[in-house]
Amino acid sequence: MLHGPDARLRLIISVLVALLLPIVAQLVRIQVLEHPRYVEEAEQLLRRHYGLPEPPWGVIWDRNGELLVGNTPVYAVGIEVNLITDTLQTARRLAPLVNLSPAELQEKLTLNRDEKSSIYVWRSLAQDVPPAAQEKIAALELPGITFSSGWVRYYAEGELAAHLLGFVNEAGQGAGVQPYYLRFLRGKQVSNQGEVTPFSEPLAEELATARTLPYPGTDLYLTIDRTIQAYVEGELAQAITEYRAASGSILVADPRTGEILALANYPSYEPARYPEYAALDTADIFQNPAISHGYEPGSVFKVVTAAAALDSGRVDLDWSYQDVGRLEYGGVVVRNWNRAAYGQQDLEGALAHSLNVGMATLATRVLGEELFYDYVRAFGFGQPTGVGLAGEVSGMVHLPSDWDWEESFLATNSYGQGIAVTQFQLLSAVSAVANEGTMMRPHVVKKRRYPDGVEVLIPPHQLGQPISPETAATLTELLARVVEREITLAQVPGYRVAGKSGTAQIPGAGGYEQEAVIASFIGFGPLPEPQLLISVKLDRPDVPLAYRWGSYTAAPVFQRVAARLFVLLGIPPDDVRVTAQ
Amino acid sequence: MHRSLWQHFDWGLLIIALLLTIIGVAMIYSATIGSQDLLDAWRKQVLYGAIGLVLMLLTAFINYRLLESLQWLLYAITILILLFTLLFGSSEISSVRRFIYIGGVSIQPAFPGLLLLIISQASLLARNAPHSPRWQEMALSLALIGVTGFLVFRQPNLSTATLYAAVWGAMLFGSGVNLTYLGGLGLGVLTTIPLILPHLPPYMQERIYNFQDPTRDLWAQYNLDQALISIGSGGLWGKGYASGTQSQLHFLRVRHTDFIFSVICEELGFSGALLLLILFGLLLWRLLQIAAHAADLTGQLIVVGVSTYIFYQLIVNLGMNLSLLPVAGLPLPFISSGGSALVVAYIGLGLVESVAMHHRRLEL
Repeated sequence: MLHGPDARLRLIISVLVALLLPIVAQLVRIQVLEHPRYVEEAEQLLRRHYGLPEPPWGVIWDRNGELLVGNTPVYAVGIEVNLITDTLQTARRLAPLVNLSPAELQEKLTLNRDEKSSIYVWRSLAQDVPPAAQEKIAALELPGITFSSGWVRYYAEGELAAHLLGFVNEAGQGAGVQPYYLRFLRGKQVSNQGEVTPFSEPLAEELATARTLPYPGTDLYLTIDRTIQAYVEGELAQAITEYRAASGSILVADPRTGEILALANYPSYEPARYPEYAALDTADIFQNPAISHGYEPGSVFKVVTAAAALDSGRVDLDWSYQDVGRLEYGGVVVRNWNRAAYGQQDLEGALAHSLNVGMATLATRVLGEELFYDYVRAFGFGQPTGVGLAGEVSGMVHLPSDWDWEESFLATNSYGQGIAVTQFQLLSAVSAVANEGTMMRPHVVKKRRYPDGVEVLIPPHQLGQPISPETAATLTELLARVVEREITLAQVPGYRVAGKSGTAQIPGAGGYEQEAVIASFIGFGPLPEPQLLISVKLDRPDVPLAYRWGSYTAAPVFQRVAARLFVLLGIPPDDVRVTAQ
Repeated sequence: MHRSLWQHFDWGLLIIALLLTIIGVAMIYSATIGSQDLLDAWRKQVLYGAIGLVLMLLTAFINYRLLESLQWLLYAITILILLFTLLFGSSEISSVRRFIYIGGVSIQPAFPGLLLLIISQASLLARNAPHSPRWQEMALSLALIGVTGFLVFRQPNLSTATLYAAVWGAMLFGSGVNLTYLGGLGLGVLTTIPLILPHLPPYMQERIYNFQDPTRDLWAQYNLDQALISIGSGGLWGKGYASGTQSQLHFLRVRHTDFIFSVICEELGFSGALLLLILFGLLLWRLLQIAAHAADLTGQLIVVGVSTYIFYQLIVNLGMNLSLLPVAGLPLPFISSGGSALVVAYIGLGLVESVAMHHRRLEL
């Protein structure tokens, strides 16, 4: 035995044992004395708020199943501040990936006085982070980083059909078809409090007991055709340039069903970038003028007056009147557009020459207040069409029962003055003429497809039958002759079409503006059995006064659109169709 | 001859080591149930335990006095493998050269190197036995440890460098060096540095740690907090095997290696942790017995060296788990997942068994 070293051996052992003592003491402190506190901390870590991944919204397709609006995945990035140990380092590495300066981020990552004692402090760092950037952030492997996945809308065609597709903001409001069908498009999101992993994802057992699980939104198939829409938008842009108009709209519908095939407005916007317009205070651009702006339709409204007169049975094609160029009623004097007197005129002449005196004669001498406004109401004026887009207005129709009624309204309304309509109201009214007297509700959604694959077709809806099929046939014939006789620029080679132009003055603060007009044309074809109804409206065309008329500006646009769409839709020219029958 | 040789084999030491290994395998299994890429960790631990066991028996069979005669060769090998590591080693961080990969297995050469160093140091310090080492032995010993310790420090690997220092200090002290107070002082300094570090101002600590050890990452403090919650919420009896929320739900990271003690505390509670410490206490008692009955100072110093090697790692690891000591990448001996550390620990016990088995003086 080596006695000397043996003593030292015991000393070494004693030192080692002595070093184990604080370890046991610490174990006793943490596991026994402070046990309840740590149990609570573990519980707090475990039971936290979680949000299940947001399910994607319903996809929007065109009538042929082409993608219009889809979803792209994005991430919301957050951080549990109390888990950060090196604020400086974390800020330096993370800042460029969340679009913040290191100093800003460092401030965000610093706990304030009240938060120092709490175990769970979470802050949002960035929204709508694309997957590529999210991967870079995840690769940093920083403590406390949280991701929650979500979606942003992806507009496959950029600006195409902007006013129709629209958007929905954080608050669930927006424009176009999406806010209107929000309850279908938006799926069910679930957020809850429960047991989670360190990455704030719920445990499997937690999900098993959850009452509802997220499900994705319902797809919408629209009535519009992507190709027709793109073509019509191009035509509108060209018309705006050619006639130097401030703005304008073109609507294309199938009069047999009320399906909207195209809806083009100028100016337009990029729905994907809606927050930028809102930030620039140009949010007015989101409004769809075709449903949100009431305007004086002018001569186009003569179609309604003529329809009422014919359908009432008080007037037929043999009816005629003596046009002296003026008619006094209720204190106003009605004159024709060129202040001329046209002598003996029948209904066709009154429409072809677009005679205000003729229409006022029909309204005041033939129909009377009650009958005229019964027809105006029956055609749907003064109420929304229910097209299924956010922001539709009713327009304004004064009725004899109104407190601010003036007798002269009957005369002026007959040729489209003193009455405010939307382009969609006019479209749906004229669809009755084109569709054998039955007025179809204009609509933009053709079918819904639920996440489980079930498809629900949305059938065409009859808004009513304001006029008889016979009246519709007679009026169609008259409107076709109007185009043939007087609106040559609207004629489509090879196809017979019917239509009416309008040139309305624009009411301002103190009466009508001097020279600015709204030039419009509404027409349908081919005859018989029209398949397309097209409404063209150009606001404030800036061409020489002599050409500042619907028949010179809107009519040729109608002609171009109709000619192209007949071909696009595979409708053979009249002679071919007649021969085939 | 052989039968008499195995008569003195210390079965208690082996059984304790095996019990610790079994506990380790069970806890590694529990800590990796939910981790797809770690599903094999417990099987590997069993395999390396078996390899370690074989190597331990082989080492035990070799007379340590034979190794003693090879002390300069062993020292040269130590220097070579440490130099090799410094030049060609690697780790997850490019500037840190700590591991060597052989056939897909990563080895930290600093650990087997230290075992070889223990043999050469024991021989050197016992050269003047039965008298105390003279200043020549002491100076040579200091030079040898200085070179190797520096090579490890330069990897850089501060925690392993302190392990080198602690092992050498204990052996120097055990050799009965005359300047006992110097040895004691040295031991005192070495053991108190890790104790005072956490009480320095944070920026100073930060500089020290980050300068010395770039592998310290942002997760370190996170995991220390999680470890405390794991241990504390375990309470007296624990949450039950494989039922710890902190470990099973992965709040606790590196739970199968450096923080496996936190898993034990969470799932088996204070009682389980105490049982583990008692097992280590028994291990220490067996080592003490073998050292006390060693035939010569060389044997005794080998046992002191191996004991310090195991218990310094134990204390540093437990101290880290309990937030008593700073973060250091030293494993919990026989328990933490990690093949080479386990094999080296078993070889260390083999050396101790060799001392036990050859406890009679040479009878030539």
